[in-house]
Amino acid sequence: MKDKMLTPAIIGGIVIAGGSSIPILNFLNCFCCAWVVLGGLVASYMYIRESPLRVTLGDGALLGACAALAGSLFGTLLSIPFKMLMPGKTAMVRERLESVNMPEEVRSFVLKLVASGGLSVIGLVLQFITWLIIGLIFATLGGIIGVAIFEKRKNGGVLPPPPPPLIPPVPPVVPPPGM
Amino acid sequence: MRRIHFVLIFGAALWCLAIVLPALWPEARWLRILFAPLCHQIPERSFWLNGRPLAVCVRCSGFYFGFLAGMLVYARRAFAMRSATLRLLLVLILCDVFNSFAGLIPESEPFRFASAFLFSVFLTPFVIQGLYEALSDLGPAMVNQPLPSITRKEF
Repeated sequence: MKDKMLTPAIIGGIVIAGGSSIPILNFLNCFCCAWVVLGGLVASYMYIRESPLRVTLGDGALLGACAALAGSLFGTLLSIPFKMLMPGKTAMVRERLESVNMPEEVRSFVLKLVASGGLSVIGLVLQFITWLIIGLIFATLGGIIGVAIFEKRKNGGVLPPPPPPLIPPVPPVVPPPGM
Repeated sequence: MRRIHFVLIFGAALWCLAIVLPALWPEARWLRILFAPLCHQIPERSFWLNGRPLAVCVRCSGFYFGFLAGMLVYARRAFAMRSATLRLLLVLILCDVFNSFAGLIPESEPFRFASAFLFSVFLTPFVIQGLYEALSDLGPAMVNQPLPSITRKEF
């Protein structure tokens, strides 16, 4: 991970987690995981804006992946209060699971998780892993799309002038007169 | 064939199979749950096969099948990265999304599929180049061959 990638990746992660966790707003994820793609896109846009050099597609992919990692972490943490506040959602999930034809072992395992309100350690770990897998696919794509769309510099960009030296230059030693 | 390219084709093929399978085989209906967080799965907005809807909507089908098609075409013959075309297709997709909420003009399923499909096809060389560069940055051992030389065109 390069310098200055951390802040854009964290902001991208906040976009992913915030958009995907907040009720009503998270509806946008039905459009091909739009919040997750948008998180990667925002991360690469911010990095391109700050970078004096041309940003490569590889940088975009790395930014998207880092944003996915941050987003999974924030998203899992942010989901805890929403799960506590909205117990009705678990009933909806249970209803949906029962209407679908699936292997009995899988159904009973998921129902057990849902019955615990999704707040068990296993539930949170599973949620983190699911977020991470989805994020690594879609946010990485978002990061690459961001660079493909927003990076318009054709050459390597312009490097800023080097900072002034911290140690002042030593004046030349002049022998005292009369020597 | 390069290792990353093979992994991408294999992954995309599995993904597309998981989309089609619930429509072809009733026992695989539970696969639809995997796509529930990614797509609204409204049957009226989905392709139907064998009397059942696919696991994702028309637009999402366009994205995923376009990516697979792009990967397969690219394996046969590498094509250039075209940023302006990608931007144009993205604008078309966003206009279509806006239209589906605003209802300004009648919605067209073929247009919805084609715009998403072409966007994914033109995105393919960017994804391959991006993943090669990212994995090369992480360590030369991650890529078994040097970076492909993909030309970049403005349109």
